[in-house]
Amino acid sequence: MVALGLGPLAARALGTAGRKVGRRQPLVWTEKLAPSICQLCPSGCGLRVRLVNGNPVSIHGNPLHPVNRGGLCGRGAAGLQLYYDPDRFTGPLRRDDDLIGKFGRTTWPAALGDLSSRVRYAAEAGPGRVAVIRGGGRSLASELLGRLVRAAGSDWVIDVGGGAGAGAADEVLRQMYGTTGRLVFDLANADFLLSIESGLCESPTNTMTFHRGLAALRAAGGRMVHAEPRLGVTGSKADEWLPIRPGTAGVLALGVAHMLIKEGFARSEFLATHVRSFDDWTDESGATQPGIRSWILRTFSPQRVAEVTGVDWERIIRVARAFGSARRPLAVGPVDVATPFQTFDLMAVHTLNAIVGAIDVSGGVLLGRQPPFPALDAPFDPTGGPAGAEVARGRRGPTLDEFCEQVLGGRSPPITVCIVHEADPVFWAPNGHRVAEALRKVPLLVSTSPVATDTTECADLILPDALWIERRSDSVSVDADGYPVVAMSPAAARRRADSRDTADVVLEVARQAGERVARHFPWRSYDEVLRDRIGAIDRSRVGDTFSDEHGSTWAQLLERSGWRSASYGNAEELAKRLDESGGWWEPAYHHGEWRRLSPHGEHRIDLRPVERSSEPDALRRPQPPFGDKLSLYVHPELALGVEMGGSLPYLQDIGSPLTERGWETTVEINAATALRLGISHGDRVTLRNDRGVVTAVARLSQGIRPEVIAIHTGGGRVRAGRFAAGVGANPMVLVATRLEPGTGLSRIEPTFVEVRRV
Amino acid sequence: MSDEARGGKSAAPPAAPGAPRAAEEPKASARRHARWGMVIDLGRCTACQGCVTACHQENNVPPSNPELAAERRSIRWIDLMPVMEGEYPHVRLSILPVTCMQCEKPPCIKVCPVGATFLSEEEGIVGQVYSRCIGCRYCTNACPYTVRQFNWFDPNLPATYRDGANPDVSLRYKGVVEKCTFCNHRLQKARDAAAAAGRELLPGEYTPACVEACPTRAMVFGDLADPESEVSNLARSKRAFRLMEDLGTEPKIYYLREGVRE
Repeated sequence: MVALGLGPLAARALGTAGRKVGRRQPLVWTEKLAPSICQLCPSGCGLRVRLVNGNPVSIHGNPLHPVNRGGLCGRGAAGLQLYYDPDRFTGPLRRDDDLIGKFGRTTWPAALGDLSSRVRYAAEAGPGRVAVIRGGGRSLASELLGRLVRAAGSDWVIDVGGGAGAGAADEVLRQMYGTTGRLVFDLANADFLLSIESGLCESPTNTMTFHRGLAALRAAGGRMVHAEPRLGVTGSKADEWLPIRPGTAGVLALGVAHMLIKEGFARSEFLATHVRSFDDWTDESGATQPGIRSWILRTFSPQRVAEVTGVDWERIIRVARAFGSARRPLAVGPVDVATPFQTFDLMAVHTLNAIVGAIDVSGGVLLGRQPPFPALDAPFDPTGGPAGAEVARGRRGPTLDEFCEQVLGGRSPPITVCIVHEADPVFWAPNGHRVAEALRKVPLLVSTSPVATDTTECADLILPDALWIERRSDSVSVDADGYPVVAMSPAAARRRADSRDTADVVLEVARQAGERVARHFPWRSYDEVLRDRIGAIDRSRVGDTFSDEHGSTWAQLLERSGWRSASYGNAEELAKRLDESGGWWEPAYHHGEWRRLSPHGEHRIDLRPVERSSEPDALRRPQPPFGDKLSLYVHPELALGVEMGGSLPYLQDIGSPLTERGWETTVEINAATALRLGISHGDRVTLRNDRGVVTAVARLSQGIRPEVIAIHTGGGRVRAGRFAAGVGANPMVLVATRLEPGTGLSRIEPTFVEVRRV
Repeated sequence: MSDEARGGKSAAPPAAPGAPRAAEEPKASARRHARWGMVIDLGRCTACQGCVTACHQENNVPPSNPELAAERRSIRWIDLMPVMEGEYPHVRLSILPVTCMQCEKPPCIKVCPVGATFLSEEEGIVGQVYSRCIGCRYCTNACPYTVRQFNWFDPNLPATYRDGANPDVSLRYKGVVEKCTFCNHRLQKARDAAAAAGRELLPGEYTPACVEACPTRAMVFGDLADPESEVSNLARSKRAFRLMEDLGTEPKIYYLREGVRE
């Protein structure tokens, strides 16, 4: 704790002595920096909150945290505005349609009693009646919510916070690797990055690992080629931009793969030992089965790929040669931009990485390591105990579309209780109106959001969660090297509202929801669960608490050599060190870990799923727009991609780095197209199709295909407090969706819009 | 020279009457003045805008609203400037963080009729005295980098935000011009802390909020007058350039080109 009496004096000496801020400041104030964890995206960056007289006045990065090392993206610091948001919920609310605001105050005991009894009835009535929709990253609160649903005999644990490509990335792991987990891109150690609609810099998820990895790659002289219909922030980092047509990422990847195979750049040793079904193979009956190699050679000639993607075949060949000649090439596909054929796109890019051996090597695609404790929300086995990842392997979790189908289709068993945590699916889902319809139909919809969102508008009960800086918080993530990172921190600031930790809420509800549910929750409080987790970390005898960069390098060297010199000797010391440093990590990655998935360490990647996932439309030239219509390309923006971002006016201010002003949704149009349509820079334009109409401000650009109009997400919230309601437009109203055959995942349809100047 | 004088205090201590100070005078007058400057590596910058929100939070820059934004009257002490070159399909895009260039020869101070803006001889920082500013906006017109911002309105902050304002920096009100100060309140605090400990200010003890927040270490800050400092070394790099160098303003913000080898 530091006592300073120089503040007003210093301000005067610097000529900043205008009128003082708000209420009178005491002449002597107390200051301290308290650790916390950012929960505005799944990265879980470490924070240090500066408190003056107990009031948080700024948020800084925690220099010990390995994911952000003291840095913060544009969102981290702005998180403070959520703490001071004048429109925050001040306590639990219950829907009362007779009131003007539709919600009336209730008490925590009444609200929790109501929720508990509904969960109890649902659990006793039969399986499949309780659901949870979770956004954000992995934390104890989200795990406990998942566990509550499982304990009530349901599998409706729906995760929506992993970004647009999360479902498809899970399919890559499930179908090609036969496992679950998380893919990580070791950008920092690659020397040639082929980025295809990756959205690395615009990604609202995994921001810190992408940005720091890309910066390290470029600083080390690594080359980069970026393919996307528009030239955005990610494209600005590249040496070359390939303006591909929307929805052709997978075809471009396999076009490059074709050239690599044809010109002998394929790393045959890796393919022979670690990949299944690349070459033609003989099945058990002795029949020859075609491998993926002949399909790529047959289908993806540069001329055909040029016709589909709209990029000259000479450029494709040149890029393929540069990619193949690189020492550590790496390709990243649409991990965070929604595309019409997302699973095919990601599998195609993964196939390209397999062909150059960029899998599970330094500078390649890594399989993120797991922390030394099981997830609390793993499915239970039939005997009632948690079965861990083995049960989850081979089947994916339910999707929002399936949830809507279950509810709106009146299927049995009916979902009677649904809890939405750190998510705003009504705003973010492509088919938001359908999600809203389904949520309204659920007899009890509970939201834990601390601020109003489009989803809380449908809720029956609002149980506001405490913000991360005002409660003990935790997060489980994976850093850019594939290391497991477990961040934990005590509450940094006092509470400004009558809110409760969702983890404690779940434990209380479980306790009251009858023996059937309660037996799965042996803990009395969030602190007890944390103690269990800290005990598991201590018992694992691996890793160490966060330390500065020199300490971390030393810990990495020791871990790699099989040695360890931990800063703690027992669980109590570990708990104390965790509070001081902000978390624990295991700085070791053992290349080849995925190969140990099978008993003899011979696990191979299966490339056949890429051919299975290729729908005929994905391989054809996209339908050209007719008349004055343009092809709509929807992309995220880093600052605007926050679930609760509407309550952060600094983020509305900064919007996109490419526009001069914030507080508006901007569309990018090719300058020549705009001239043809009579549109000038800064004009308001309408985008119209048979699904709806959107108004936005035009930005003329040379960096976009002439037949494309690009629009970002993040605007057009209906209910989101004073800073966001009615600001900008939501392009998702124009986009139709369909269910992808094979995976059942929701995909955006190619969309065309008529553009007119207002 | 005494330890205290070397401890980076803003002025040499007054000589005690009758004390034999004459022999120390030449040393004191030769005391090096700092030239605080910044190098921004465009190869490392990923336009995450961490610098922008960190700056706004540190300096109590009020958030804008749709009306102000539509009139281009939002206040930003640091902003990202996209530069697109070429014609479709051969286009190159660069994004530059732009803030007050802290010029050695700032055109803005020459035009101020009331001395509200000045170049600190000791630090090389261009300061702004809000209580003197009469809002004539000559300086905003004279600045070739258009980084000076005029307050067209009083800050319209919700009452709850005021508890979260940084007490080191006052709010600015309608009718005054403001701009980046290199967070010189941080310099003041760091120098006071060093003086209290009886030592010189050490490299890294004074860092503006934008540099501290940069997650990719694209921004490096330090004393350009120290030829051994990291910032001086980077400023001598072949990749280094300054904005509108031909104007002779001698900015102390350097940029390192992307994609160019040393």
